[in-house]
Amino acid sequence: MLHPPLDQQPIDPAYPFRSESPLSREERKARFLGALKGILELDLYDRPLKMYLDTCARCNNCAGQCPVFQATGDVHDLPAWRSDLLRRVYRRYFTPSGRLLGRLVGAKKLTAGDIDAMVEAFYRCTMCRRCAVHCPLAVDNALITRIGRVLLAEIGFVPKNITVSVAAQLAKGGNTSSIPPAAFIDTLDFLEEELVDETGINIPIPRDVEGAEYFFAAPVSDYIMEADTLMGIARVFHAAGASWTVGTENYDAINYGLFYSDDKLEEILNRLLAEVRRLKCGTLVIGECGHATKAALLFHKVFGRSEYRDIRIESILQVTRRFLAEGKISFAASKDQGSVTYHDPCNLGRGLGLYEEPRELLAAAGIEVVEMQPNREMNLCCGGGGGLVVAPDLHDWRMSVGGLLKAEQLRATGAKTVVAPCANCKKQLRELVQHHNIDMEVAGLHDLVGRALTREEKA
Amino acid sequence: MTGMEFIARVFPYLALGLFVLGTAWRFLRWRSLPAHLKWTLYPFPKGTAGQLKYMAGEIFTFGTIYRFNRRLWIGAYVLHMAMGGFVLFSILYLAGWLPGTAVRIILWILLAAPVYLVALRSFNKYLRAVTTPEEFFNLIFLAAFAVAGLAASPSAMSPRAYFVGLMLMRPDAASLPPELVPAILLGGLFLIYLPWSRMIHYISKYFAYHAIKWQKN
Repeated sequence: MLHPPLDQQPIDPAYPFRSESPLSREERKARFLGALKGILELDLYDRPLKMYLDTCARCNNCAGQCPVFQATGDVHDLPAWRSDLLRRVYRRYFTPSGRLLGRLVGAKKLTAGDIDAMVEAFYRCTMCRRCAVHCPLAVDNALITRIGRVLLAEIGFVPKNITVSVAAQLAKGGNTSSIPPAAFIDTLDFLEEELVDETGINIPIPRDVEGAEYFFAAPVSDYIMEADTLMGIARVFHAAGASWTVGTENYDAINYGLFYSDDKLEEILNRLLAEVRRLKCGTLVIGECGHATKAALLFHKVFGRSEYRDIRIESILQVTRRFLAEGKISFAASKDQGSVTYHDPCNLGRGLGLYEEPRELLAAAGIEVVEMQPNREMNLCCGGGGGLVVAPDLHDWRMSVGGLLKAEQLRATGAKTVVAPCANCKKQLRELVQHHNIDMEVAGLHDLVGRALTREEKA
Repeated sequence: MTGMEFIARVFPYLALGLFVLGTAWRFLRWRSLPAHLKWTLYPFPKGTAGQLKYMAGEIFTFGTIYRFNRRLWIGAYVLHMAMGGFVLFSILYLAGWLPGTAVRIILWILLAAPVYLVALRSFNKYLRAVTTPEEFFNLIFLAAFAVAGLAASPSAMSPRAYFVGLMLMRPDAASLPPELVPAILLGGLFLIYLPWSRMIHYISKYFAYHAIKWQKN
């Protein structure tokens, strides 16, 4: 048989992620198709989605770029196969040729089994977009994965950890790590004390400063896990003499809506923008976090309320790089950091083109980078992208499949430190080096940049 | 009008007209789609010259497939070049600048490439997993056209007079060699089908690159 029906395809028993929908199998089909119809009627995705659904030469060029397929060699991990799960449904119900000719043109009636296959397939994709770099027809499977997840969310299929985090964030005054405001303020005080210990000078982390030029929002997990990154960023703002602040009513830049829901993405983004507006700041600066930066930068003009459209959004990488270019910060003579390699987070690199800014900062700080091979637009995903790093259920899969090639790539550099300006990447990379016994530290970009600064006394 | 007259005098124009209309419709439809969501992939070639250079390289070498999928590239590249070559060689033959043998050679290549690709898609488990009946149909369609072309040549009658008449808008059914009828029919049907098939990527590629992947701020 050339093309076995999807509901006869075996699902990988080693893949632990399962999600249950409250709907009956029949209801799932009806609601899935209704949601797909709704998305196709939206202006938002018209051009890319319809183009990608109409076009694919089935050349499998994407397979050679997909780190998941490269790790498993399983046909179910072929990006074109995965995208076809949605493409064939689209063709069957929304194109004349598919309605008329069915399977002859690759169209297929939706079954509950197809939905089961999609649940697994779309959550085995890290949405890294590496496959799109060398697609001869420029098809981007990550967008199809994202739309597939949006549709699955409509019928209740979302990884539990993601929904729990988002629910916590959308609660009044909430955030994904459920850090209460009082604890957040304590953490800021603690970081300030640490900064005094490290630098010998007082480097404040301003809070609720009305009219500050920069409103800074980090992924809130940084306040628990990435103190060095946050202190490095505070040192940069301080050394540059910048007017900046954090908000105490919303201090979480994380936006998991990017991975599965436009509604959630919009709500989370607007809550953050409302906090920027409350404090009358001109620029929202997102900390070291790939998906949060992409969600804010890419969807600001689409989902941001009209009254927030004038707010400028930047990555902390861009801001620090600009401070350097303007001579607002400078670096001391290099201290020996040991060999350092740099990991290009997918959302910052392929997603936003921030390849050179971090490298220029590291170079200016006197830190020589041993490049990973490949790097930049061909860099391998850490293996936890697309929100998969949030799910503890997927730890073993992330170590043995999603991040397998990344682990080999890290080891091959021989570096003692890997720098990754992304909270999710850092979490995954730490787990990877531990799991694969790689002697390597994982650090944020500003951990190193902050320590190399010279002129912190300025402000 | 007899069936033969229809095939000789009307069908070629009808097929070409439907091909142009179908292609134009797809082009205009895609062009009219709004692009609210910016889905750029970085980095991308800078400037029109850089983008044209990249695109020309991709179209004339199939460089991305060559780099990562060499076995498929052999078939896909030869197939596409043979399609273009067939049109070019046919024109040169009709102009009297190439012998009919050259057209026959290109038809043999146009037959061999789809056969190779059908075999590759049948026996390579990864290609088989993503291949739908439509891909096989498209390849077999092309192979059938090549067979029809080969079967019609050499014919007792030269097709040159018929095609020259066709191009001068004075088609003459009497000058159409009967052996050529299957090739005319298949070629025309292929043209009509082309804009509505997955082979529409001769248009979609432009939008997928210029209007999405390389979309500027």
